[in-house]
Amino acid sequence: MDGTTKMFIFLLIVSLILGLLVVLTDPTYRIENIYKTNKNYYPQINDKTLQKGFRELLFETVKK
Amino acid sequence: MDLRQKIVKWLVSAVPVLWFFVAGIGIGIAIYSNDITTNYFEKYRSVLLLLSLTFFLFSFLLPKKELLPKFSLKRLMAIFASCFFGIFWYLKTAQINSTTHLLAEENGKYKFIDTDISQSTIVYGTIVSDPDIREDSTNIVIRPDIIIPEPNKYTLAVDTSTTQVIVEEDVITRVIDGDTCETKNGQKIRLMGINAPEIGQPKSDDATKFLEQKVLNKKVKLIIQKDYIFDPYDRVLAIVFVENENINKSLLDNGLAEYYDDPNIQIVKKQTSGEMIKLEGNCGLIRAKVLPTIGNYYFEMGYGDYVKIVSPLLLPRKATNPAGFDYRRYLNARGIYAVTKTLREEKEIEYLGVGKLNKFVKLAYFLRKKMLLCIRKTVPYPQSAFLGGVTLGYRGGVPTKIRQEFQATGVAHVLALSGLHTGFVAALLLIICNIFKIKSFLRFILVSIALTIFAIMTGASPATVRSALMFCTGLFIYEILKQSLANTARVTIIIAASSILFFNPRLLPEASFVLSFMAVWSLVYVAPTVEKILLYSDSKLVHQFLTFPLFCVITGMTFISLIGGILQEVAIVRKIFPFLTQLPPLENLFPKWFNIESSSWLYKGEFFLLSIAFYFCGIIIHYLYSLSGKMLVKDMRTLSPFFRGLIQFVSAQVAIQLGMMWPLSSVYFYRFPISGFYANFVAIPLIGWIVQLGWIAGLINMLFDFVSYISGIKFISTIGINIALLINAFNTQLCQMFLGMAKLWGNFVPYPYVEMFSSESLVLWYSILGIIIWFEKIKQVVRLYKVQSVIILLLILIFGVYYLFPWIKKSKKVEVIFFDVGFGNAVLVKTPTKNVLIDTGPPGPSNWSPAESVISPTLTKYKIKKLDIVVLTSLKPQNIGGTVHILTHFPTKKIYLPGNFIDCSSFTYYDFIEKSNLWYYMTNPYLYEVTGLFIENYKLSQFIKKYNAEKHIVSDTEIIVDEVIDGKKFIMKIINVGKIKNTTDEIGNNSLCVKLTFANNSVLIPTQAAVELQNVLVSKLQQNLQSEVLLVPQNGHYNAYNELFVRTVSPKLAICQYGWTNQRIGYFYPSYVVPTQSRYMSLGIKFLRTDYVGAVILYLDAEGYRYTTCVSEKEYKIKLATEQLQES
Repeated sequence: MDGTTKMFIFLLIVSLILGLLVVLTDPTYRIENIYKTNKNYYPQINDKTLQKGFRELLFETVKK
Repeated sequence: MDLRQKIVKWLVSAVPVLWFFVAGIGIGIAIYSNDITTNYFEKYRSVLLLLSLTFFLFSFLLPKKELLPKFSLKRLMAIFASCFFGIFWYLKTAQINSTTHLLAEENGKYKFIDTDISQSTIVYGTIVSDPDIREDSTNIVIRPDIIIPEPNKYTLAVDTSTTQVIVEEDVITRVIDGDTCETKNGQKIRLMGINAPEIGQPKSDDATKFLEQKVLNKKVKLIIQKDYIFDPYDRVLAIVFVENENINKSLLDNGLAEYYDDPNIQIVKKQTSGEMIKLEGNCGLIRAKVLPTIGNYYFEMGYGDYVKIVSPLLLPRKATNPAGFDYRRYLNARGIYAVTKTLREEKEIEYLGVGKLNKFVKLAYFLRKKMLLCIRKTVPYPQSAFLGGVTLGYRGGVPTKIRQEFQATGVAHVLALSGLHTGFVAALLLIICNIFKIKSFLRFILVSIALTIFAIMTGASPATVRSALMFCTGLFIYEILKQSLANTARVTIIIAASSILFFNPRLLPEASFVLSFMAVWSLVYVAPTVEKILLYSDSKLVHQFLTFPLFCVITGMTFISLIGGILQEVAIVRKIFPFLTQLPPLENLFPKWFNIESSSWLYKGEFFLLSIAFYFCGIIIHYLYSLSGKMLVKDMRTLSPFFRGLIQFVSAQVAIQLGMMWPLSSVYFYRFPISGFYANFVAIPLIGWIVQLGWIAGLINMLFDFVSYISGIKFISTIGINIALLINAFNTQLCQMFLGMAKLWGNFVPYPYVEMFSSESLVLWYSILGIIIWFEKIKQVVRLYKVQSVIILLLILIFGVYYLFPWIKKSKKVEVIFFDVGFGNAVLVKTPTKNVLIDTGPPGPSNWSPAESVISPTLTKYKIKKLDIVVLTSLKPQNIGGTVHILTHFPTKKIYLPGNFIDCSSFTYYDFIEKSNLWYYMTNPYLYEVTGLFIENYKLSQFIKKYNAEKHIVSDTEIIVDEVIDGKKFIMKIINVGKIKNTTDEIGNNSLCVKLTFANNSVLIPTQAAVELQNVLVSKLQQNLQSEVLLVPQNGHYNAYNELFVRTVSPKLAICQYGWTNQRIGYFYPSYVVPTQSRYMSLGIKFLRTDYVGAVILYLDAEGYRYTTCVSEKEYKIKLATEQLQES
């Protein structure tokens, strides 16, 4: 493993630890709360529409 | 010879050929610039020709032992052949593109069809983009399949599916005009959905007679919409039937009325469809802007959906001003040849099922959405919008303020996905391959596939496609052919450029194409030279005055950026240290004396002073340290790897600034973000880590979801999203820091207009840069080929004298530019010594007012930094709307104001109406014309009071410019005939006229002169009014037409500054200009409307006058023909 890769892994671990600290200290960093702040940001992209998209991708036949 | 050697040998031969293919396309564009490109390329023709000459010279200069082959006659032939092939290729492609737009099949053969089908059209086609959702609309790109132009026949019936109707019967006893009549009990009836010419307009009598014939003294049936019975004038809106004849429709069919679209009326307006055109093959695309309607705001259609659109197809707008943005060229380069606009309603856009789709693209878009959902769940707004933009290219949702701050800071490029982002993703992929010990061939295959998916996921914009292609090609040459990094970069640039241009030569003049390749060129060629000077120079002077002080300036500014960014925005820091919230913003910390007024052309004083302070700090530290007998940086080679890396990064940044940003940013954008130089030192590494963390979080989430789907264990998916949350929680802090930094720099340093590099200065700039970069090689070549070198030097000298010293040929003409500012007036008069601006155009939305988007860039383009005179001829908003912006950015010596100007900064609204003698509005003061008038005058008064310039209220006729050009007198005078009182247009009748006279030619500019003022002008000046060119008064309104005045002036050319405005300032519809136009034309006067031909540039010299228009005559004729077709 070269120096850059080691540095990358180190920074990733640091980011994870600092991220954990942020999540622990700030209750606004909960998935439900964050999701609420994004209610007007591309609301059409959600679990429901993605499931539909996935089904379409796998099973939908081309028609006109 | 193994395969690898064969490929290398092939590349060695191909590179010069490809270079000349690119040069050939450049020459092709230059040759063909008259017809299809804007005057921009006409101006830069010399640059392109010189570039091709430079490429030719490079074939001599480039080292023989490296990738380029030995020079021989055979190769010279190949080079010329490739150059000609490039020209031929471009001309062929350009010819197709310039005259045709969409490909259609007819009797088994393909033909091209014009898209300027300005009437309503039905389009069936497949969406081939991921919808780009913006704040106010959604943009989709459609590959058309079937087009059905609708004939221009109307059926008018109240749409009973959406509303109810009342049916009444009555007798018509009086016909008022073509669309209004009266019943026996005195109730006025207005024919619904149509608009007949007003009394006095052409065909008005015909329409009235027609209506009389049909309805007078007859029993009629009135169909009235139940929820919209009366119009604002208390007339009943109705569709009138006599027996079974629909009178509204008959008026339309006979060309005596036009369709009138009132949003309150619910009518079905079209009847049958036209002949179907089936589109096949690789046809042009259509960009549709879908406007939202309440209750159905979000768009659920996506890639691959088959849709029907009912809306007119139009050609994209061309650049209409000397420094305007050519939207048509921009879209054509992306394969889009028509635009349309629809409402998000079923009758205008309808989902019909699944169209022709590519499963691979569909998968990429699905992954894109999946990744965005991860961002929506783990990153709060507005950081989510920022992260969505920089990782996936979702540009919607980024607040406008943030966008503006990014622009001001010079880091706006991070919001648009480009080679930089692709580079970060490629680096991430390579690191992942390293972790899993995946080497050479497999690594090349995996990374290439992943980058292709990335390019599609992010919308396959030219920038990402280009950079993905470059990385894949580079990886192939580096990994498989085992070439050095330098050679890989050199070959990659040219292969990527030529292959992109082969398929789409129109991308060559694109800003993003040129900037992106020049950035890579700078990194490959300029950066090593800068590095050599900064890092390996033995000169103490370089160490003391360049390397170390530069290092100090950059470190100081970077430190301020980081601290400022962290303190301003990072929530977690402010949470831990709450006292920080009490601190004022960093830019306010400087003492007042430090806050110098914005200089005329560059930047705020404190920014400049701070840079200088850091610079001298660097010198002083270095000097003091060397007094102790040691040098601070004696030998850069002994520095630690970290510092060496830092200086390499500095070198790369300096190289990009020298090779791309400084010369080209001003050429393409007329602005140079000065703070970008410092801000990018933090922005680039920071954005790199933000993008990579964003992708890691998204990929982990996708991987866990996939495992969860396969195994059926939902918990695995929960683990995935929580790991993504941890990563993005930290990433959010980084995003906050970035946004804070942009905010700090945006407030700290304004975004100045800078002088644009001319074609000559660009040549000079790149020649000097070339000499510095290839100095050693040039020396070698000169030693080897002495005679040839002298010949080339002489050629360059001749070229240089001709092109680089234009001031030898002193200008002997006067240029008068009639801008296309929409609905308003703005005229620039440029003499060899003076620059005068007459009016400043209408007001407009912030950042997009005509003064900001049209006048300022044009002034910058003409290298005008200061104005000698600004004349405001009238107090109407369409004349003074841009004054504050212009005077703020272009210091002006003298301002002339009309005689009726009053300082209304302390007036109430009613004071203003009274003091301005606007008696006409006294009884109805809430008309938007007069509120708009007050607001603009109030702003002007407030600003003018404080503005430091000579202000002069014109009370009599005055000569403002008097100079001798080419032995002939040029005179510019303001005509004021005194007060005209108690008319219905007080402002217009007290406006100023400007007259220019040069040799035997005159130009008369009576911007807002109403009929009364025109009469006074005729009676007072008579034959002195005579002019070759006339600006049509009052933006072409037919009410201001005065035949006596026009006959007295007897112009050969009339220019009408008319167009659309979104400001409610007395705007009138084009139908009000049409009568004026036909009256002028009937007198044999050529009539140019700026909404058709764009800006008109008039050249006056001792011989006479000539003019050019920004939109070509050909375009203008197409537009006129389309209108005539519609009328007929």
